[in-house]
Amino acid sequence: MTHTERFVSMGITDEQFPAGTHMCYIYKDDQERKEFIAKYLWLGLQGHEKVNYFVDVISPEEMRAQLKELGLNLPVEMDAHDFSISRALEVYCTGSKFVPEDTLQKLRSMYALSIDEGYSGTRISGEMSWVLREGVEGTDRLMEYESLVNTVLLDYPVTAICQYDARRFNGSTLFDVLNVHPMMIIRGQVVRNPYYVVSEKFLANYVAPRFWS
Amino acid sequence: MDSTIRADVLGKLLLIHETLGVLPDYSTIADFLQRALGEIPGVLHMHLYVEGVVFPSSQTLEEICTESKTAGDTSSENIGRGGDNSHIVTIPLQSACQKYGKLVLCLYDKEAFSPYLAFVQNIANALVATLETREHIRHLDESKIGLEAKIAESTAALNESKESLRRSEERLQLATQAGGIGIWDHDLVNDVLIWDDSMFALYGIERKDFTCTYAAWQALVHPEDRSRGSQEVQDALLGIRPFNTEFRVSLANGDIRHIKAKGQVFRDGQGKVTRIVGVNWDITERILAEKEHDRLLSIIEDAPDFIATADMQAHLKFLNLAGAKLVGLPEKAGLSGLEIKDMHPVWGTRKVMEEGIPTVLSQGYWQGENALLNRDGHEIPVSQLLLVHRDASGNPEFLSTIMRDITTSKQIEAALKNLNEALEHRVWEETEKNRQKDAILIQQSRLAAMGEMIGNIAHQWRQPLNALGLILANIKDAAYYKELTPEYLESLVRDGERLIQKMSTTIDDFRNFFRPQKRQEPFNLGSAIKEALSLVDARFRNNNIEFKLELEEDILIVGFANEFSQVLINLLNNAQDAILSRHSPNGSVTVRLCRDALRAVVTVTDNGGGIPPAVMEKMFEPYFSTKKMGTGIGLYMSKMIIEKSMRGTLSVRNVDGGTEFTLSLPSDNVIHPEHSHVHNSSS
Repeated sequence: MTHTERFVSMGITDEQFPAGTHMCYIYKDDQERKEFIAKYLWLGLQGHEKVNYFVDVISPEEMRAQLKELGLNLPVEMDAHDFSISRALEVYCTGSKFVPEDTLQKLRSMYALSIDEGYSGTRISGEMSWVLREGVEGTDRLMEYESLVNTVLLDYPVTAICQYDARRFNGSTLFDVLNVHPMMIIRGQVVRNPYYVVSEKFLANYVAPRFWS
Repeated sequence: MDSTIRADVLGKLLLIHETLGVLPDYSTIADFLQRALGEIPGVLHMHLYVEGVVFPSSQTLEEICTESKTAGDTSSENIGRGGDNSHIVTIPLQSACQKYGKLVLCLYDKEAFSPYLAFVQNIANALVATLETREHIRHLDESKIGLEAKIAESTAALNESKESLRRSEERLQLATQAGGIGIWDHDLVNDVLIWDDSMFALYGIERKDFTCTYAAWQALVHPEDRSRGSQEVQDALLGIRPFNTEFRVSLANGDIRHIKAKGQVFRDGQGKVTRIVGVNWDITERILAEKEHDRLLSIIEDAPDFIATADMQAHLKFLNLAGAKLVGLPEKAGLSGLEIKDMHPVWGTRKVMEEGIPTVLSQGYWQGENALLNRDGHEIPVSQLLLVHRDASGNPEFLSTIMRDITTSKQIEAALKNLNEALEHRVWEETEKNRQKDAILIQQSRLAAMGEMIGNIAHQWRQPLNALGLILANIKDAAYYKELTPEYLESLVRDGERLIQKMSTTIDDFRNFFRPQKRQEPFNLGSAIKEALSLVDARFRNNNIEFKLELEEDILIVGFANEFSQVLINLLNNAQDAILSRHSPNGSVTVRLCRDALRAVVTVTDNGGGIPPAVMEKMFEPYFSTKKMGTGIGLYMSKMIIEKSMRGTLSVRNVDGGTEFTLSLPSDNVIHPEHSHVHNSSS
């Protein structure tokens, strides 16, 4: 797939980032997170991107209502075509199993479809706490997936923010999260991650801990 | 590591520093640092020692850290070896004024680590900054919580005070409204009189009609009370006496309302009266009730009866003036120590205690005759009413009594008794006189009847006496002509004896007829009429008076047959006398008997010229007669016999050329023939 490099606004700073930026967002303040995410999604709509949000903590309907409360006014037609809120578990998993290859393929298809539909690109954000749910198989491959995303995004430049709740993930996992996201949002700042390890290197040394069990 | 910190190291430091800021607890921080510092050469593992606890936990390190007196006081220190034979280096976590703990590094290659010590110290500094920030935030949070708690407490207290004030105001409003209490506030400096809603209700005016001045209030006070009310206000302002008064106001509809007013005077710093605040309330009901009470008390006091109350222990609690006077107590005497027994003679007290009070307690009241005992010792007969009054629970509370002096009525009663006795005697006397008079009347009646009987016998005997005379003449003539043979004489004697026997029978008939009957018996009216006629027909024939009989057969009644015949003969005699008095050559008497609605009706009609109206009215009075030789008792007795003895009626009226008497006998006297044995008068 060919594309020309495109820059997008993420919402925290005026700085523009290349489409296909993969960021992690480690947070502990829900209100701050919602306000930032609302702005991030709104900027995507403004940039005529296909916007997808993967919700885990609450239902899509509740998320939609909260976004409206935060000023993200979604017109009906835009609501139906430009913007969607899905359950994270249904997006990341196939049934009750997480298979990174399948999810990565969904990511590729999502981008390709949006381009076919005439959008300028695709913007996503997912609440990653779904991996902590009981009974989900394959969650030990999360960091493998996150690392591979960086490879996929080279050809399918989906702009992505992965949200990690510092109150729910342990410190070791959070450090792993740093290893697989080239950019991170931390305490209201977008920083280039010095702990980021390119996919090949990360996967060569990575031994997945069973931190979520 | 180069002495100059490279940009990527700075980036890592910054990232670690920022990340530490969002990590929620020491355990997460330790995990994160374990991974972050794990890249440093020579480091086997890393621990965080804070608040006496090692993260990740390690009993050995916790003991080492706790025992190390100097731990934390140096920037870095090799304090021994861990269980895995590693070198343990601690880096104190402390700010200028606060010690937080240590960063504990277990090194497997101390030499390899040494170039990175400065980096780790920077990490430690970043951690201290994070811990310090957290401490500040914690303090702030605690302060905030404390402040919020205080604010909440103050707010709650304020709200409670407001609520309490609101409720208090509501209660006051409710109380004043329910009690009809109005509140007023007079600003004397500016002469502004402020009233609440209840005040307007009390004075019966609208707020818009009130000018809020002292004069406006004065104008509403009843003219007769205005001057006194104003004076009392002045007295209060001058401090002579508190403002506490009563007055009247005239309402628009003409009603008078009685107002009670109280007020409190307020003074400024110089002692000058500036304000008077007070209340008004309606005491009309109380005033009217007091007047009514006074009126009732006045009625009780003015009543001529003894009216008193006593408690259930028989102690007198009230005695009216008349009561005191009746028992000889001074008007102003107190009732202290007086009991019910002090009001009555001994027998009267016993009556109250043993009969009156038990009856009152069971039935609510007792009424009877009793007596009061005057102090001078004389008894006053009274009619006493005793009542019991109960409290709300139904328990007897007190007794009341009303006693009326019945001395006069007792005297009148005695006089009446005497009068009654005298009257009874007089009635007996009159009755006796009447009885004697009746006896005389009866006797006279009998005599009259006797006279009639003798007259009738005389008429009956006239024919046999003539026949006897002829027999005697025949005997004389036969003897003169020598024709008196024994057979002829015998024949004449037998004729004479037959005539004498007939005359004797006539006497018996009359005697039986006039003998009074003892009891009523059934008899045939038609037969009785015929028998009566047989007694008088001789005289009627002699006087050329025609008899006409129209008798319905078989009418039976129960009664006195002889008395009925006596009445009938009396009527026939009267008819004969009337006809004879007119010297009419065609005198006739018609006797009819018929049934009329089951009554037996007998009419005797003559053509004797009738009776004048003036006479008609008195016909049945005793001793009234239009005949020269009349006794005046015939018709009276006839009416008595028919109406009293036989419960019928006897009436008279004038008919064409004469008089008609009607005897009507009641239906219950009339019987059917087959139901009775008929008594036929003997002839």
